[in-house]
Amino acid sequence: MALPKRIIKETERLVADPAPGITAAPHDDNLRYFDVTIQGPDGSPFQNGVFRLELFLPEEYPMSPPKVRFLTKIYHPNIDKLGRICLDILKDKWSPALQIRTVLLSVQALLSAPNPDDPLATDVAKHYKENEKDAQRVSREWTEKYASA
Amino acid sequence: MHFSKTYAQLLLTLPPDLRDSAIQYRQLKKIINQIVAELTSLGLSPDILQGAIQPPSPVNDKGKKQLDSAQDSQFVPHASGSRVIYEFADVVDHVEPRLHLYLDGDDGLPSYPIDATPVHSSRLNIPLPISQHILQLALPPSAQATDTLDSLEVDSHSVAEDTASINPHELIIPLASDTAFFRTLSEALVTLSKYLIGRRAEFEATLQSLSQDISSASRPSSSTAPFHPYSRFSSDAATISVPSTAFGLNSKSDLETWREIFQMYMEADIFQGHQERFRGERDLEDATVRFATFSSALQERSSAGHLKLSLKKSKVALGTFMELNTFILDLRKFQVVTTEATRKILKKHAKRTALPLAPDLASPFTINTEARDQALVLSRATSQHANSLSLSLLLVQALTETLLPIIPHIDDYSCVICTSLAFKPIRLHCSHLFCVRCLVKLQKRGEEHCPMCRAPTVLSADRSNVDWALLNFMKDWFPVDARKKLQQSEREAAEEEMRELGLDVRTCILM
Repeated sequence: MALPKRIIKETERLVADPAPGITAAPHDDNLRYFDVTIQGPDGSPFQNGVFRLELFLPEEYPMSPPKVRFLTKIYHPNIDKLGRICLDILKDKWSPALQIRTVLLSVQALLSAPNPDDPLATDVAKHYKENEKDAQRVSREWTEKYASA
Repeated sequence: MHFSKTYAQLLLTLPPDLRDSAIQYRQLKKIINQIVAELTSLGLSPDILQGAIQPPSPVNDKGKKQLDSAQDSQFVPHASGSRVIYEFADVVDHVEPRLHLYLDGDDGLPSYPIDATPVHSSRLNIPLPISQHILQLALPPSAQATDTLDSLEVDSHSVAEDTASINPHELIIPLASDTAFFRTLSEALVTLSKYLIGRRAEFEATLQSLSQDISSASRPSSSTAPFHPYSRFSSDAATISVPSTAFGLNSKSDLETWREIFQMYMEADIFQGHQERFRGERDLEDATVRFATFSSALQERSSAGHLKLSLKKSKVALGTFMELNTFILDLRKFQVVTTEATRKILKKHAKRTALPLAPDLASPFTINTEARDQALVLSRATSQHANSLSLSLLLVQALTETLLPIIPHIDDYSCVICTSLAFKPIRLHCSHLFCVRCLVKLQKRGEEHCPMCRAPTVLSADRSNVDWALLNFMKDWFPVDARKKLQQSEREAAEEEMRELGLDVRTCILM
């Protein structure tokens, strides 16, 4: 099945003019499958970390959202052990006006602003709610351990 | 290699008219030699001046505007030893650099009258031995001859109490060759600015007529071909099937070719970056390479027959368009070279004469307000003039703002969902625009919310939401894209219908 024009355009721009701190490159053998890296935002416990993700554009894209998952282990209340991300725009708040680029920017923003009230990893969220400082320390440790470039 | 040689060679690569208005670097260099000779004849050779000159204080800065007030009470050092100050005075129509000596000492010379006219004679009154004598007078008795001039800069605070009552003697030495130097330099810059203002006007006039030529060469199909606008009364937008000949390219217009040229030009991003990583004016080398790439790509496409300009005036217009770009590049080059030459000659001036290079004094841009205003056109935006723009950037902006909007750009009329022309255009009640195909898909999925604003406007959309005016505009200005989009949508809809009937179209599609 031919790749829709929209995906071709998005890919071209992602490669030619990447968003700051984000890279995304499609696989040669599957142009709907992307290798992604996101730099931990400055001022967050994930600072200086480089996180690997995978992104897949389903057949219905852009009518349905891309599937995004962290491959690098991360200690974050909205990201679980399997790297699944709790982010509304990847689920019920998806809009076909959003793009790969905007999705990845949202994920990057999620690293700056964890939301323990809407947790995916309940134990991490509990930790963040009860002792934010200590939880951030663990996030930093994990960042250094698993996400150092 | 000496800069003067490099400079001459660089100028040779520029068009003669720009070259002829360049700064005369060699001539200025010769004047510097004369300044050194003059200073030496005054007993102020570079060796002696080295370290003896104090930068003028802010008070002096104000004072220097009025020669008459040179002996103003502010100006008389309330407390100070002997000093030499290199200052600039505004004299009628030019700037006069001069040395200002302040002497402490009871057996010093009488004060010279200081006003505009005797300035010259006062210099003549000081024969060489006296000026050296003066300098020596200023020495504290203990100082060694070698330290002489360092000690001229007596710490003002320590002397303050002791010498407060002593009237220092002042001496002003105008520097004739130095005056000639700055006059030559600033005149060159003013002439240059005037010349550039003229070229800018010329550029803009050419641009205006070019804009008219391109407009008339790329008229939409409605202007010449038999064009049938859609109407909500005569046709049903949901079912219109348009014979592809209705979209046929009007042979009397180069619309699509100009669109492609401008598209390539924008993608080449020659003078300014528009990317996340780089925004702003590119440096000269980068811009030169980009322009070369653009023009060879253009050449390639047209010799391969992909880029056809059928009208003669289009071909002429393209030539003019390229010339305007070349001019901007030459101007950038000229600007870089001139700025460099100015910087170098001022540096050389300071180095050879040992007169200080005080940025606010040394630069002719700031001495003469008139010259500064004009010089802005030439100089690149600096922190000092953060709001000023370089001339080349102004021309680039004029070029893009005048020419590119002649031809509507597809990105402004695209559907955000499929990213191709939003044909046929459906305007939701929340005012957002999508192509009919994407909207049908949204409706089939039961999606109620507008992808742009999440207003519940999708399911209620029907034929009354067709934007007829835009539909006609698109057919008129994007004949090729509209035709393509229509065919594609029809095929996609047919495939979808087959799928809904349970047939797998992917295996039996016949093209």
